[in-house]
Amino acid sequence: MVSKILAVSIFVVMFVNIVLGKFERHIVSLVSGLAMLVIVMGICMHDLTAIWDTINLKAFVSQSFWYGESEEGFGINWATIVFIAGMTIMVEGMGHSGFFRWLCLRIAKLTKYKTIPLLLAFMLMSAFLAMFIDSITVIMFLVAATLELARVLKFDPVPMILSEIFCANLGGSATMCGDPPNIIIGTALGYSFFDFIENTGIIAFVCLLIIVPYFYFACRKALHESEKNRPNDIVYPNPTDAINNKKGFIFAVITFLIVVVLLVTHAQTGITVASIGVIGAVLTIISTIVAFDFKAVGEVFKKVDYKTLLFFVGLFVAVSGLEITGILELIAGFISDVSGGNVVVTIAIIIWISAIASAFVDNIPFAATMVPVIVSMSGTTGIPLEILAYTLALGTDIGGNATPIGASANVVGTSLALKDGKPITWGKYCKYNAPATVAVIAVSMVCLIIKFA
Amino acid sequence: MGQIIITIAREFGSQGHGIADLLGEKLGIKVYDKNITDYLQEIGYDEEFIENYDEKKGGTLFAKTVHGMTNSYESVIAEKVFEYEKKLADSGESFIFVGRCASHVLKDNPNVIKIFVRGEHDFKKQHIMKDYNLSDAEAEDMMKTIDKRRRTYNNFYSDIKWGDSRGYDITINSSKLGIEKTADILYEYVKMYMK
Repeated sequence: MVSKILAVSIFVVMFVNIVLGKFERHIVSLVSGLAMLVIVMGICMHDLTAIWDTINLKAFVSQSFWYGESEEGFGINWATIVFIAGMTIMVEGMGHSGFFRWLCLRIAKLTKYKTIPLLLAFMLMSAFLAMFIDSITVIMFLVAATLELARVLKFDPVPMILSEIFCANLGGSATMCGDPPNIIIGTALGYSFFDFIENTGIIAFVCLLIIVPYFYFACRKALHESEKNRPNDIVYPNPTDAINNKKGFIFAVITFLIVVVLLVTHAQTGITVASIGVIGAVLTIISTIVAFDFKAVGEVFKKVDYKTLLFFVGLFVAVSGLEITGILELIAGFISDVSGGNVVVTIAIIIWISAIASAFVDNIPFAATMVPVIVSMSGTTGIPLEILAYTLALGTDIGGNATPIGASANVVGTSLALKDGKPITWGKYCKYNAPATVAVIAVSMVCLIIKFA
Repeated sequence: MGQIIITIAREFGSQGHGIADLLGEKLGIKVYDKNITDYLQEIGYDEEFIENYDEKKGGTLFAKTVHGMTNSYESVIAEKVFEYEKKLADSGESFIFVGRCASHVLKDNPNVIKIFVRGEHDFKKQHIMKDYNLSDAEAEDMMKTIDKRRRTYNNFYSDIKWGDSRGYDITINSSKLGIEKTADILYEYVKMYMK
């Protein structure tokens, strides 16, 4: 009982501190993880095996970690961490070569700099890119290009930025590697890229068919007006100027394509996402050395967000503490009792709770906590685990769209706009994106019910 | 004359701004205070937004930071102001900067003299009542509110506590000698430093 109370207390303190943001979240999660290991598992439970299992270093020597079908595991989900680290290195390498800026400017040129086609193209590009690379990077480059084009073409970039943020989060929900909650769910439960595409991917596509017209109607008047007032002497940015190094650029594109192919085919080839992350990183390092020099590799590594990786380590340990003390089973039992084992009610509860929670708190700890909960729920209610997993993925990924702090892409997008003298207030953000989030969550729920119930 | 930068942090009502103006006049250099809003407007922020978020501590509950990028209005306005302070210092211009953590932002610049102006409670209150046409109680409230805001702002962005003498080169009580004589003393100090 004491270990249960302590585990819950440590977790609640961690969660509150992550929300308040007074301390950096990786410090909070690492301290909480350490407290969970020492106080709960060590002092209260005297269980050294639990500590060893939680740290889970043995995963690295397991064949299934690198090749073959991944297994459901306990403790630190190293596959998620290795994959994210590898993808981050690859994406930094791509950014270093100028790939993303080139892509944005190239697409703008293809639309002949007409604002409505630009809006539609950037929304689709945001959703597509976010299916494979993290939404923070997608938004960082897309919003920077939008602000640059808005200055040249004299239009208000705010609605366009909001639509890009929404589509990045929506695109991220479509695949296993699009959003951290999906990576956690996919690696923890052994789902493939195609498993996600066939489930969350199709639903995300349906939602995109609703969202694109929504933003079109919300923005078209202002964008049309801006085109009328556009000066004649505009100097359009040249896409090729964005390329810092032609050789590096070509290598970056090839690496990206190889990684996409590996991700799409990983269920068939047996190459796990952890291996794909390592392959992406190694190819990026080699191509950076060939195209630039060793110093450039250092610059790429410097930009890797180690704090997020450490945050994941602490978080997985903290969640393991809840799992080993049986707290998550209690939560699972409670949700199962409320839903009465009914699939429709369970889908509704999970999708709305995860969406509302993700709109205000970090969806990564939420998803990490909920994975063992849904496993336990599936065991007690008999509801297939995949239904609960995809419901959780859609709720956490899309729910974050509702507020400026709901997802990392929202923070980065609104921050870039704010720094450019285009503040997006909570009111303005929620006016566009909150109703769209509610609509998309409702549509996703209906799709899940039609598909599974 | 080589470059000289004077930063003045001050308690509300201590006449820090008046002292800065007199000192600027004597030294023949520009004083930056409220006119920082011109720069903020120039780079795109409207007056109401600046009024609401300038010289305020960054919010935490309604804003987040990801990859070192924040969507806190207060923090970004502060970032812009600090950038401007650094830009001015790098330009080689001599100037006086009142408030806005300039003592902290420019602390490593060898040409900076950091000043903190304080005052006795009644002295400050009398000035606030006169300057803003307020009653005793209203002046008291205003003094508390604005000093609290300045302290919170400074302590949020700076590693030296607001008013802590270790963070400044001179801490001076303006109520002992009044505005003119305080400005004279500071002028002499600056002149001696520049020799």
